[in-house]
Amino acid sequence: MLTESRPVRHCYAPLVRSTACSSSRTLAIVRCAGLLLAVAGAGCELPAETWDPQSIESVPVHRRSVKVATPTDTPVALTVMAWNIKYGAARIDFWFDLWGDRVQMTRQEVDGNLANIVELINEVGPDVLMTEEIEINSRRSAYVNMVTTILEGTSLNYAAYFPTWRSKYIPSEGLGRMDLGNAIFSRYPITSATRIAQIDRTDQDPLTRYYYIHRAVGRAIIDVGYDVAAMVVHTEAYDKDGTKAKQLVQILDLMNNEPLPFVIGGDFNAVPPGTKKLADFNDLNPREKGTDFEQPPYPPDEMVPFYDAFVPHISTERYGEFELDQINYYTHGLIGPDRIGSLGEHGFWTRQLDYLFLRPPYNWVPGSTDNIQSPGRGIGLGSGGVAIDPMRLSDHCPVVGIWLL
Amino acid sequence: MTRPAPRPQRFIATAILALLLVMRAPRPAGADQPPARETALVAQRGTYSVGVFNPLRIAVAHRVELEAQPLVFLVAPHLIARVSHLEIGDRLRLTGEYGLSLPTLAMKLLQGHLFPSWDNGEGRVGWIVAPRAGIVASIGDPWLDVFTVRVDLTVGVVLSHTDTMPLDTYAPVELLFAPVTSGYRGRAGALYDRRLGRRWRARGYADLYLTGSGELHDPGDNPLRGSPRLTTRVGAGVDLALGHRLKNRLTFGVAWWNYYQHEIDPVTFETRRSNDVFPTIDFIWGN
Repeated sequence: MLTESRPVRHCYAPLVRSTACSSSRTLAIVRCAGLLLAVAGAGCELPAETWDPQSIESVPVHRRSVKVATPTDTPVALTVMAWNIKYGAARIDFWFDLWGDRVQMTRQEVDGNLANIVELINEVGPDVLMTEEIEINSRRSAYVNMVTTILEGTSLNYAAYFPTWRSKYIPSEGLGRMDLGNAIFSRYPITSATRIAQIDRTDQDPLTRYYYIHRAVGRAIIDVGYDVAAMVVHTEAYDKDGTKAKQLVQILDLMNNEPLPFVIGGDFNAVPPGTKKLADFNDLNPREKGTDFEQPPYPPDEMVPFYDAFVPHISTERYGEFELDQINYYTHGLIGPDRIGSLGEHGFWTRQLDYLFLRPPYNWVPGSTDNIQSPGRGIGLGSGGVAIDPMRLSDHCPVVGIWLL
Repeated sequence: MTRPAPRPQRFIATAILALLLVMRAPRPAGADQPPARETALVAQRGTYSVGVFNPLRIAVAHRVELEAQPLVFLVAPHLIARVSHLEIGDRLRLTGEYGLSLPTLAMKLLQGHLFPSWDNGEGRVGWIVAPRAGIVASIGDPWLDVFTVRVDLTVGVVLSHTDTMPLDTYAPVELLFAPVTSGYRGRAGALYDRRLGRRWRARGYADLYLTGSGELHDPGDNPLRGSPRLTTRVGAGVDLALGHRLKNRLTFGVAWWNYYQHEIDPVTFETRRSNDVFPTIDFIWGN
């Protein structure tokens, strides 16, 4: 538009306004307006950020304001923790779960919930922490930067944040500004971090798709005397077009091709092999049927390739064959203990969706792994278990283990 | 030899004479195109103009215009009366603007988008009215070049409990609802509009808006509490008069908004003000 070549025409006789001059003036005005619009518009924030599904991009590494001293010797093991922290909402029931109608929290609510989350993290004392549904600047979580809050409140010195949902304003239920993602925190230096895009859903209209979450795997290289990798994942939850299955295949591919020793953790939104209860959960509200947030049934074998090739933090043997055994390792429950679910039961964990995996020959320190469902759990970490009740801090409980290097 | 000092009376008389001469300067040919928009000029009785986005302005009496946006009026009844208080010659005008709007129905219609539906709870959009008062002063000839300044204030008066909050959205939308979501919207602005030719006019403007950052929930809440939030708008545009009598016009331009919407630098996490540039376009019919 601006590179078009055209002879300059001047209007020397203002009293005789020719058609040509008038046309030239019109063109000049339109061009000026177009130029102004183009130049000024270049600095504007986009309505929503999208990523090429093939993209792999570097993300900044953030540091704690005052570094906490780390052991000078190369560690022989790393305490690893993964936790979907539900954007610091604890057990506040939001509108999309259909159990409540909240769309945003007060600053006091978020600060209070995050203080409890930080307290539990400090009880576990991880060397590497992977978080999902962490927000740095969202209206619903009072614009609190949770990466900074965790970084400054724990002994973790470094953090990398991998955005998955970044929008200037989402015109749905007053959701507004959103900046949600995954993060990896480390006591040891993170030397580089990359955001690996996952495929997007295709079963939404273009406008919804534009403003929707764009899932990604976060990968950080951590210097523990030599390089190891940590990866954090959070796959799709509500798709009806097989997106989650494709994302899981992509994750498996990343794990198979990872050149460094690694740990991967996060919310896979899939149940372990052999899971007995796959649908009709107590925490699903009957009114979700037909909505965008209707939970599709969980395929029972989605995680089989992961269990076949890698070392889960909770083995299938430990998970058990019967529902009564498996319930001890469930990590997700939409409603808290104070709410009665659709089956007439108080809220509790209803299925396992969160995992940690290592690649053989690496393994977990025997007895060190757990899904911290309640106070006293996590005893394998060397303490008497955590004191704070994770059931009241998020709709997921943390999963932990000690990675023997 | 010293010149006698001029007497003050002679100075004043000369100044008044010069001012009157300027004010009564004859309007040149080309005065048949529409005058500048959004000035203190109150049109002659029976005159009207209405745009797709610009409001309907109709002069209903001598020195009185009524203004409303017809489409918006259906869902958010509102009316502004523009009353000419002072005219000195053809070049200095002072007009008061007094309005009232009731946006509750529009807000209810926007539930699920700008406002929560509250389908699973008891949240609701309450009844709120927003009275407005302002003053507009113009100096110059609205048919040639005219400079206009304005100040106005709109406040939200809650009539029944509401759970609505400030939207934290794009500045134009935020400002639209600011009186009823954050307490008030104050504005101070300046506009210069100049005739460019038989059909063309050009305009440049700048506005400062102050809105509350507090929240209104119940009757009796003080709409002026909370620290103010500043929004600025700077724009330019042109009007092209159309039609045989040049009474219609196509307007287009660009407006730059600078405001606070919780934007951060994704690398440093530092907060920064938002900047948006929006095109402006409208077609205005007139008689």
